[in-house]
Amino acid sequence: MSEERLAAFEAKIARGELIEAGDWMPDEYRRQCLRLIVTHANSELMGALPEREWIPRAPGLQRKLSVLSKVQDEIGHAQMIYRVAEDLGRPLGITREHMLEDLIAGKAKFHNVFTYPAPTWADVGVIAWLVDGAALETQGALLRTSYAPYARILRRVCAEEAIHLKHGEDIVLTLAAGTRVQRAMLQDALTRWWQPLLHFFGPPDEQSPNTELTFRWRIRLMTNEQLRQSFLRKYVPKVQALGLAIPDAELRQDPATGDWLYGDPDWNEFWRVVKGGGARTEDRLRLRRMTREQQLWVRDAMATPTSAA
Amino acid sequence: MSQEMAVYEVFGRERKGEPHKHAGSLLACDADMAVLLAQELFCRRKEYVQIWVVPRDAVRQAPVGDAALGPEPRRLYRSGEGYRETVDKWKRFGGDRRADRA
Repeated sequence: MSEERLAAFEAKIARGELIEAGDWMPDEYRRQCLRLIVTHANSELMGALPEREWIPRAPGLQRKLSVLSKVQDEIGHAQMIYRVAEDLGRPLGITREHMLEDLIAGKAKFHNVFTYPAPTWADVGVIAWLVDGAALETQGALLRTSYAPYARILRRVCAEEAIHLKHGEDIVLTLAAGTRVQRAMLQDALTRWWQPLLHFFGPPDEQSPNTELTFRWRIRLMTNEQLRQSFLRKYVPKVQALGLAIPDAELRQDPATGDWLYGDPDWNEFWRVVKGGGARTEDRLRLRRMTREQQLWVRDAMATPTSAA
Repeated sequence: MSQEMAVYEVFGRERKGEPHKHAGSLLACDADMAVLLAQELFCRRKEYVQIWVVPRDAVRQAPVGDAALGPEPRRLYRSGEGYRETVDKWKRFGGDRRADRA
């Protein structure tokens, strides 16, 4: 019986049909989707917290409003994506509380890029342009995932990320056209973020775990390297046009394929961060714990029906 | 007192005169809070002129065109396609003037 169900499920996927929350699915499909979606939700939340620190420091009212709106979007994305995850996790007994508890306990994954410091305003621009640009590559490819509720919410997420990217691009262009000090600040930020950006898409395909089923079931449709190349083709020419130096002596484009060949971005550092050893991992988790405690009264108030208040 | 959160489905009307479409879902303690959260989550950029929030428990879903009932008859009489012969029938009366298409 269960083998027949699995065969029917796989035939459905092969026909390009989509899976809805109430449909039968193999537990392993559920777990793989859940891992991907919870990591995404965690990353939205963990990315918003350090970014929030820049609201009072952003130069000028327009920039403050832009950062404020970006933070609001990221928290909104986390809310919507945790909701999708809850429906998936329910048959496994996994609730949003579990997801948030695992996150602050350091047991859950969130994106590597959110474990690095962002010391200057140029970092804020580079993050919003290139890290959000990288995220848009990944999320854009997931719009065609076989798990339909995630794909639907990603349409909204991607539309808003595209606005964040413009916000970052505007900051970078302003600094690139600015004073010598501003250009130097921008170059330093790019130098800091280049390796995390290559890491962003994950290890080379042959070192990436859990891929076979993920692709057979069309949970993911593009490999780490395909996504990284798509990013490099779009952004290397733009970064070079700004007269910035990319900190990789080996970076060159293969004239035959158009692929960018890059120097090894220290995959040991990548795995160290994945395992929770990033420069700011502890700080960021502490910030998350503190936020969760400080805002308990808000959550309590929101859990109180207005009629009973 | 705080109580169990419930899932609410959110629907939005993008323009006046258009039907509501499903936007997503959220967790809230009651319908008023669900409206507030839906505005915060789904309406930050004037995406909708009006929203509905509906407790998920109030939604009943059912499959359509169940294969178990056998092959679907071609219900041509439900569509314009089922009445194409009118073109031939009009020929007896000098052809369809098609005033409505002119």
